[in-house]
Amino acid sequence: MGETEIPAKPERVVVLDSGELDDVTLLGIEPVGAVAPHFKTSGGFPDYLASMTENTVDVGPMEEPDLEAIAELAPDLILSSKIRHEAIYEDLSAIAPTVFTETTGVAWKENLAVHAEALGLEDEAAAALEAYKSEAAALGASIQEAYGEMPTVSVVRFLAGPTRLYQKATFSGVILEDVGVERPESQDVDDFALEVGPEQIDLADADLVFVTVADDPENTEQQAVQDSPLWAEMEAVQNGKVFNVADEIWMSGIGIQAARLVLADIADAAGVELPAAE
Amino acid sequence: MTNAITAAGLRLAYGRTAIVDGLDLDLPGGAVTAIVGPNACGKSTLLRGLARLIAPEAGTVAVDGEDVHRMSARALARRLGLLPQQPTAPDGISVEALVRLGRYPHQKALRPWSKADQDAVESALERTGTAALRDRAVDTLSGGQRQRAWIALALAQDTPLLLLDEPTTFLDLRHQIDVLDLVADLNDGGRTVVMVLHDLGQAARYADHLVVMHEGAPAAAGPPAEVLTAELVEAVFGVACRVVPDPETGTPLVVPRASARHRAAS
Amino acid sequence: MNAIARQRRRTAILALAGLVLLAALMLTGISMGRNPVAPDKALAALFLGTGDSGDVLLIGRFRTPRVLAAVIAGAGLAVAGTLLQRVARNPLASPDVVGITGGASLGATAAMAFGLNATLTPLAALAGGLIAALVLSLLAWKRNIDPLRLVLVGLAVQAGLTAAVNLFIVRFPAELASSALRWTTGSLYGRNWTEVIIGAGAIAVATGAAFALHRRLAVLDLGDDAAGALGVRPGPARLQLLAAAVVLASLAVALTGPVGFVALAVPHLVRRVAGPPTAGTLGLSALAGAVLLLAADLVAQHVLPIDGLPVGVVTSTLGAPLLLALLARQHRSSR
Repeated sequence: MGETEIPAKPERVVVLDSGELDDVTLLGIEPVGAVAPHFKTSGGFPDYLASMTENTVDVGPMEEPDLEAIAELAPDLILSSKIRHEAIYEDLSAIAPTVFTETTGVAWKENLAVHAEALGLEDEAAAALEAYKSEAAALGASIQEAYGEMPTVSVVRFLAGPTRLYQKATFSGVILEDVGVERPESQDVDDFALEVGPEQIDLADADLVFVTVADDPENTEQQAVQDSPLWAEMEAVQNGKVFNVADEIWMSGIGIQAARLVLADIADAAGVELPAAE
Repeated sequence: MTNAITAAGLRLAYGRTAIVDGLDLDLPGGAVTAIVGPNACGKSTLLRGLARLIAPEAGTVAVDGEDVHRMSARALARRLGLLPQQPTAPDGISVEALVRLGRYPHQKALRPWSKADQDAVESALERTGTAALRDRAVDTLSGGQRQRAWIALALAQDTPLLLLDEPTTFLDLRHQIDVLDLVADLNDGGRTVVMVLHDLGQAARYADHLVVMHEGAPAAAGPPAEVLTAELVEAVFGVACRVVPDPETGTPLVVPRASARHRAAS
Repeated sequence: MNAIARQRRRTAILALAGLVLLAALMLTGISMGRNPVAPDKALAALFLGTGDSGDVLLIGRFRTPRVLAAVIAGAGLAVAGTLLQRVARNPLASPDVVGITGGASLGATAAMAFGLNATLTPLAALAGGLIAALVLSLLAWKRNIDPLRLVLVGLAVQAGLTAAVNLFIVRFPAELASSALRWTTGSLYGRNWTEVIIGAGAIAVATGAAFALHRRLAVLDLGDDAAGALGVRPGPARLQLLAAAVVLASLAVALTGPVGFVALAVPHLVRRVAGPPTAGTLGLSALAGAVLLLAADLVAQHVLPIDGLPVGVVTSTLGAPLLLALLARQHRSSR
């Protein structure tokens, strides 16, 4: 959104979404202000970034960040996206140079490049991305070796409203593609997500099924879905291949640090050793 | 200008039901006209039609030959005032505040309340004997007081033509006489008054011109002494009676005949 | 002193008190916050642009537009509520009942659904409110507008629109649904000068129209026959008054979302303290609406311990008992 002049090396950074938080902490910057992941109802910042957010001020909620709190932090850079905060872009710009990406989720690698440029840390970001890519590729090779042919992997998210099967145009979808695993038919689509009710949950069946819960489980259809006979009949359920993983990593992570934790979860689930980082 | 009202070929209807149809009527200017008739004969509808509160389906109403439907609403309201049958005042409004609303047709946008307006209100309060009640809330008044307050509103409107729909209903005898004497006074001042009344004797006593409505059409119209005959009353109201001269005024007085049952009992 | 003069004096005193209260609240609004600024410094920062540059930004950019948005939307809602209750002859009439807020909510949620630039949401809400009101008038019009018919048709329109909004929200991805839900609760978050200036201008014009129409409204209060005899044609008069109310309510709702209760409660409150309706009490309603909404927003921001609480939650939770208490007292005193 327009041209923004940024001081040489921003040090006081405010991030207004979880992907931005993963990116700046990856590049070694502890933000002065941040918001808790969308839908996370308690506990604040993601646990996996706890060491990098010890002194970070919560300026949330994400939908309506506290502008006064942000101003008080006197940041020299604010990062967010159009899809989240278009309405307050002008206000944010009045506080500090503000850089918005177009969207979040699927565009996480491109967004990292934008954030790195804003921070003047392009080389560090490129190196981290390369490391991730080789790790993903190596994990794919180990799985291929262990399974013969690539297993199918399914991603199910319980949240308020209909349950979602995450497809390829998502943060998790990009990672699974980087690893090279197959997706079940319902998710082998270049789109965001398929919403299903309890009576369609068999569409989620795959060799490995990863489950996340956003929000309070009480608000979701998790209980209804998992009580349904269709759920019990799924092969993954009968084979014990359903894995509960962290929503704040698989869904809201949207950055390389989270992506590498996703790789670790996949390795665990597939029963292979995660190739050591170079 | 005498403020005579003429209706020609008038058809007034609520939805598809015509209440008055093909009515022709001449009401003399400068006189008191009483409209009488049995319940549901269309007399209130007629009054509302004359005041342009109902748009006629056919026919015209004219004041001194001028079609009321060609006048602006305000211009008509400066010539013709109406006291509706059971008006409702907003909660808590004082008598004076109510009467002041009668000045609406004379006020202009942005022009403040004038001395002429206040004089008209004072005179209306005075003439109706409500000056002492001016600060009382209308909804705390007795029926008679309330009726007089509403008449004061119509007087403050200061129109040469005044239509009153059953001004004496719900009033005790004393207040009925007060209201009718006031009507006579207003007429002496040159106003044309048209009122719907129930009591035939009062109508005959106070009206110069009497219109007897029957099933949506005038059964007879003219000076009370000529109109009010035993035959007509029997035909219109279905009541056998004698018409005798009012011992006070000599105007016709309708005295129903004692029924057979009544006679047997006495 | 007679009743009219007495009420005038009472209205003037209440107006003065209301203005003082409003000024105090506005000053509180621009001074208070996470980073409190002394009132004199706040005023200097706002009007002279002097003092700490952070304070100037805080007060000039964030606090003042929000305070002003509360004031003008509160005033607009209250005047709209007063007009609607009198035109509909129904003490329960308010923009929530006759479909205006439903239309505005649908406009705003539709804008979100179709991915319109977020800065256009207020405009979409305004359009939605006006379209709903147009539909309402067409459906309620039968040579005249019968007050009862108006309310019944309004209820039906509102119910249909609310259903459509809920359908959107249920069908929305959860991310959009939470924004839409937030909007439909009524919030003063993120208001800016452009919105406030346009809103203030338009609401001032519509309020002026309401005052210009007040004599007509007072006559209409006497009933259709009496009004007709005084030269006010009830149908057109009601339509004009309805138009003023609708424009006011739509503008206010576009600015703040459908904040509940202000439009419903303020007319009763003013009636209770200032007596039967006059042009003066209409002015008091505007003032009371501004005070109420601003006070509710200050409570939401600074008194309650929850961050980012929408003001609509406060007006509804505090407004309901207030109205009940008021009605209970009125009931007792009328016995």
